Amino acid sequence: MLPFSVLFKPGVPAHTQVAYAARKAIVAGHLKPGDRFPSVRVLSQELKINPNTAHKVVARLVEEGLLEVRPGVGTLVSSSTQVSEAERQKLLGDPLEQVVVAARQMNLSLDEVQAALTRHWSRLDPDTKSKGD
Amino acid sequence: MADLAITTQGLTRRFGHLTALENLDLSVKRGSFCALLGPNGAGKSTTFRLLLGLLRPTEGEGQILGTGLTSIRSELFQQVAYLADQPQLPRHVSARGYLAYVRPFYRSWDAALEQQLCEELAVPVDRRIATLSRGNRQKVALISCLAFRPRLLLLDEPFAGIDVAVRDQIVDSVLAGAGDRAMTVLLASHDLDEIERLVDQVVMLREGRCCLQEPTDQLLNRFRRVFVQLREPAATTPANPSFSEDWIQWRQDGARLELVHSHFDPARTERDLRQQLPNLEALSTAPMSLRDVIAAVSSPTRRPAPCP
Repeated sequence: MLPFSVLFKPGVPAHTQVAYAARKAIVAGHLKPGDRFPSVRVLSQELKINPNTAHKVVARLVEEGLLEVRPGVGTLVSSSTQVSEAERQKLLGDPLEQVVVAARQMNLSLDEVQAALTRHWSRLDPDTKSKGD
Repeated sequence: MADLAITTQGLTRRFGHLTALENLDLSVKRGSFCALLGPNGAGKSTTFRLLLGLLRPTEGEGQILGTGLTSIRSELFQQVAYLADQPQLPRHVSARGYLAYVRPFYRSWDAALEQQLCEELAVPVDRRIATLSRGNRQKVALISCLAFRPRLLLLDEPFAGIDVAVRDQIVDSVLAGAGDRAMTVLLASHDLDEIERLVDQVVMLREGRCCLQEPTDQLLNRFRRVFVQLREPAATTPANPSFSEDWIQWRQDGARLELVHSHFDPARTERDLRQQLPNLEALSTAPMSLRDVIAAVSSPTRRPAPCP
């Protein structure tokens, strides 16, 4: 079993969708620093994606600094998951625009959007969650 | 060229007056899974037979795993596997007997993998092949292709006439055999939903000519279905020559338009449309599955979709 799940949508490149699911698992703390990340072979077989695609996912997450390759050990979740400012902006641009468009379409106020954002934020935030436990 | 498993240059095959394949320039990287698409009679099987040395090219040339197509020796088939669309298996032996017969031909036969695949695919190994279902026969043929760990696997319509559960098992087995990019796969199939995530390159043939050769992710990124709302119903259909040929396939219903853009770019797509349709009110876009992309590219009402 993989430490994250991917619900594939047709039309979006598989590596984009898998990388997103992995990022989400890492920022949500389901995958913790030092945890082992699935190998290319396991990713490919579990998700029925070809090994090149699986390799692309790992390579991209390594490049983003979320994963690190330890020779002889495997691929681990980085201890310092510092994402560059540019990466962060890129990650946020599209989905934020979608939220703003949807919110305006439904005549929601900025306050309402911010409240909803806060709810989602705390749902994914491992610190908030452990305080709540 | 070392990183290419398959390459052809101007590969052409004619049968009398009929040109089955014309001027194919194909490159498939090692470790890649490449889909070979196209309607029946487009030249897919001819391509396979040329790549296997079963047919001689009329013109052009090519290499598989570095060997020229006209100098293929039986030795190469220690590394190349071919699953034909109707695999011919002996009818009166069991699957176990057939695999035992094939095994000694291959130096790299992996008995453990053979065993694993027989179990995972739940093949009734002791029954005569003649009594097996089409799906089970396909599995036996596939095991004989994977168990010697080929570096190149050619699959011609592996899912035709196979039920969904067995299709999944076939995909799982191919991925198990592929490991970490040790195997290159060329796959002809009409089952685009099955292969969208499986292939990283798409080649499409039409009437013997290659009309598309592109990485899957790039293809999915550049095609979008575009929905347009006009302020008032347009009197004329916009089958408008001033639209660039990047816009393929349209449908119009009063003030609503549905188009396919083959070179989607968030800013450019909207700017192009607004230029062409001054009374555009709203527009939205949706990604397209590989199946939808191929359908749009092949539809008779389409405009030409130039390769980038």
